[in-house]
Amino acid sequence: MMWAKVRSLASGLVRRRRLEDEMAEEIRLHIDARARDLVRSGLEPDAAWRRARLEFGAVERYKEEVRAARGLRLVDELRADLTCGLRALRRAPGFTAVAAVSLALGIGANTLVFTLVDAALLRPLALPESHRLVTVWNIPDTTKPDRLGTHSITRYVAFKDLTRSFESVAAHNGLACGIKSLGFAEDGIPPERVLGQTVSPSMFRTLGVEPMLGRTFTEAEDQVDQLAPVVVLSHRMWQRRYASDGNIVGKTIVLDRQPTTIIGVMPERFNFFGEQVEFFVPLCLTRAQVESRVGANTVIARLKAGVTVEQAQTEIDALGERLAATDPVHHRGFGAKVESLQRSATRSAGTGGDYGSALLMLQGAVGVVLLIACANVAGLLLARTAARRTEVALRQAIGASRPRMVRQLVTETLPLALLGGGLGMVLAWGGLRLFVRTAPPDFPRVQDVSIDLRVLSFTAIVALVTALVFAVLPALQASRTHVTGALKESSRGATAGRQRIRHALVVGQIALALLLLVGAGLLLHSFARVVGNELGADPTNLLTFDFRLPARESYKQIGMFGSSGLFEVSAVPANTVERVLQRLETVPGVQSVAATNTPPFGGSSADVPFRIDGRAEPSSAISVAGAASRPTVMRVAITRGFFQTMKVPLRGGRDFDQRDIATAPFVVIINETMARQYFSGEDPVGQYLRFDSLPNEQPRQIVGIVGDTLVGPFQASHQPAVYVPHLQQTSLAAGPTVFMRIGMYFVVRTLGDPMAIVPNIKRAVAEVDRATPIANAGTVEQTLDAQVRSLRLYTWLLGLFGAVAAVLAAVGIYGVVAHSVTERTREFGVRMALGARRADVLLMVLSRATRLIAAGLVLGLANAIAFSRVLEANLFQVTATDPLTYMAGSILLLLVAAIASTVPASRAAGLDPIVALRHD
Amino acid sequence: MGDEAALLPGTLDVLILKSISLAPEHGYGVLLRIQQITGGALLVEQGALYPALARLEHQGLLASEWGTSDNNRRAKYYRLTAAGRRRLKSETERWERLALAMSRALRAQEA
Repeated sequence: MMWAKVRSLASGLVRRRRLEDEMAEEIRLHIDARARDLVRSGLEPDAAWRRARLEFGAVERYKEEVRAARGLRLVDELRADLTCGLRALRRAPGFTAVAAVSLALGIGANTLVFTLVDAALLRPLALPESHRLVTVWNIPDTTKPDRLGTHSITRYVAFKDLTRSFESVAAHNGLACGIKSLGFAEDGIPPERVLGQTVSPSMFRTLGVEPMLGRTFTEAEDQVDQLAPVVVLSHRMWQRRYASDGNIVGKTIVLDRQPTTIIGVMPERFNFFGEQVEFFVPLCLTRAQVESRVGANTVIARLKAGVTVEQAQTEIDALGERLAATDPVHHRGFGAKVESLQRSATRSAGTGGDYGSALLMLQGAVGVVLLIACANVAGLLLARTAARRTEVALRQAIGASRPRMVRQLVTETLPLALLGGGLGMVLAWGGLRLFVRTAPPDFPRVQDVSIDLRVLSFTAIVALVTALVFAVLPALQASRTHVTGALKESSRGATAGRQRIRHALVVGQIALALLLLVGAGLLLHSFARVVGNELGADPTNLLTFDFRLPARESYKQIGMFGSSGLFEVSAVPANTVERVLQRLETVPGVQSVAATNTPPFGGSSADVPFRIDGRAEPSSAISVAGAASRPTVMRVAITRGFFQTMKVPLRGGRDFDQRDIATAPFVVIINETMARQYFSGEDPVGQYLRFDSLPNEQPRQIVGIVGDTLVGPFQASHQPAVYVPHLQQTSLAAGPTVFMRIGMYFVVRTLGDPMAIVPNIKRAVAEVDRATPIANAGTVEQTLDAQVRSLRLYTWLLGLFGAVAAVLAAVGIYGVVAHSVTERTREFGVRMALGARRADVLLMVLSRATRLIAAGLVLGLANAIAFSRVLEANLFQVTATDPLTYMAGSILLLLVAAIASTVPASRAAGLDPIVALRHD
Repeated sequence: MGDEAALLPGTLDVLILKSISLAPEHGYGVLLRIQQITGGALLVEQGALYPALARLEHQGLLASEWGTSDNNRRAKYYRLTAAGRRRLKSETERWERLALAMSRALRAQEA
């Protein structure tokens, strides 16, 4: 029967005209037939027809009932309501504009942020059954469970062999053997350094991806100390460098100066490791790595069907405890965290930023904006339905039921919701285009960001829900009207209850707007601090690039040092760097050039324990983990000319120069903080210090003091640092520091645009070493900019939303004050006639507005203090209760709200009393 | 006309189904037939017929088509569908049960 009804309704709608005609005809025929019968029984034709007509009853009423029976009445009513709504909108353009724009801003902002949230957090990864994929993080310090890190090989193997929750376990490592990128070289194509990943043989199987061509690694290719000479290419690399050669599998190329065979190519849609990663080689397992306590391996696993993340976590925790007892060297003191791969992917490995929580915070912020916008529209609608009380009462008097009235009032607001939603979509689309162009490149799946069906439905739902929410409230209010009372009164005269609601809405709006403004202000303040952080060097016109020799040729392991490997480093990398340095000095356009082993402002540092000669050994307790609490210092290896190139001032003594080579007495330069902390009151120049990390260290003389520089813009305070000439590093290296010995970061101060001389630099370097290309050539300013890019993005976005919120709140208070002025016009007329001056009227209007604004500000401040804690993680040198920001935000909002209330107030003051008295 | 009891609600539908079951009929004809089979004992307000017919058609119990009547005039004829027949049968049974129960109850009091 349901289906029959649907069909009947559909045909009724489609053939409406015919239905109406048929209905009219049928009734007419009925009356005619009855009339004929009456004539047959003796009446006159006219009288018969009239009698038949009377007997039939109220034709229109029955027609209406037929329409109702066919389900058409509902449709008719809806259509009428919608038309009414549209007409009302056209008749009040001011109302429509404000309401629609408010909605558009709220909905547009929400759509924009939801699209980002969807792309980063919600949309499943493009991997089969991605909900079963997890990352197993290492917790290097169990007292800080939020700091997540990577595993040693031993731990990876333990997870692989000893757990039962996983179908398969794999590991990948971007830094194994110290190389993030390898030099691809073959005849005809210029050599280049390409970014890649080392992966365990189980990686592709765990992720669920098959190679497009060839195969991936086997277990046999995953042996310790025997890096199999095989490589798998990404689709992009295959297209770009090998011109999509279908016969590429089996070809031998020169990779890091070793002949290597290409064994496979990954499909195009596989970009789990990011667009930049273009090749895969087996995990580089050295004996040192296998025995080391630490490692840079990220473990990914696929849960068995039916196993949850929590269950896996429990198993891993239990396993961890067992292992800590049986193998404390490798497992004691570590924890592990199992997390869905989707969530892990939002943690930006490079900058340590967590896009996930930042995005959710933004979603909260735009939710607040939407609330403010809805409050605006609700207030406007309240005012409008108040003006329609007479009409509503009339309709109810002639028979409309309360549900019908509510339905009508709600339906009339649908066009407004649709208009606002449509405008909001347009805004969001524009905003997204802008975002994709300016977003940080490590934003998760930025290339996938686009408005799609899910977002469209989200917006539609938001629009409809806001329509319901802000229409139902005034509708219920309006239809509760006491009918006769409303009919008797004139249409003005808001009840106290309605006004109270509007006032409450405005206070809420101002409070929420202040909340957002304070949040934005805190971020802005923090950002200013970050950007204004004195770097200690001049980053302009500085080119930087990475020059690195193959790891395999530069060092070899000769034993163990504690729990890390001990390596002997060859002199070749350092000598090559010297030769490159000398060659580069003569390149035209180069003002000065130098090199360092830590990327300039790159944010990393190597801390080394040290001792100052001639001082008593500080009595320090050796901690459980084996690291002594001896003082450590950041150690940087540099070439001569470094401080000159970076424009770091020399504060005492001398800089490194040509004399400081491997066979000369060992010297160091310290920075001001080091001098201040360890040599206060004495002259450090001439004293000796010694590094305590390796057996063959010798005393080094301090020959100079330089100004402090920052490791990165987010560094809060200066740290002591020691600079050594790179040629005077010892031939031994322990653990991961060996990776810093095989190449250096060059910095070149140029006379003009740094990027312009890159080709010359490349040629010059090739002259010295044809087989080693430079990598990551860019300006230092770009590096700095990239580091603050996500902070800048969030500051910008939150600032934008705060401004929008303030504007919306201002509109809200304008509406309330204007409405109140309109209602009290006659009253003002009376008062002015009785002697009140313009200023008095102004004061009367403003006093209520001021009360509202004050209440809103107080409420807002209280909320801000409570909620700003959320931002704490993102703030730099600014507390969550920074008084300057709170004051600035309050004053700004106060000004905006004051202006918004003054405009209608001055209108009230400018009234002509006679006109006012006549106003109704 | 003598006393005519007002039509009990819900009875109009089953009366229409019954009268159409005898043969397809147009609106006026249904009216006449109802008056005939109830012996004029139940009043049918004439116009009320049409919403009822529309409702039954909407529910799929009746089907309609235009044709010509016996005196060569156009008329919209209604006939029962299979579902309509089933409904008539079940309603008839229901009424009979109800009438039996009511009469038993009322008789019992008298005795």
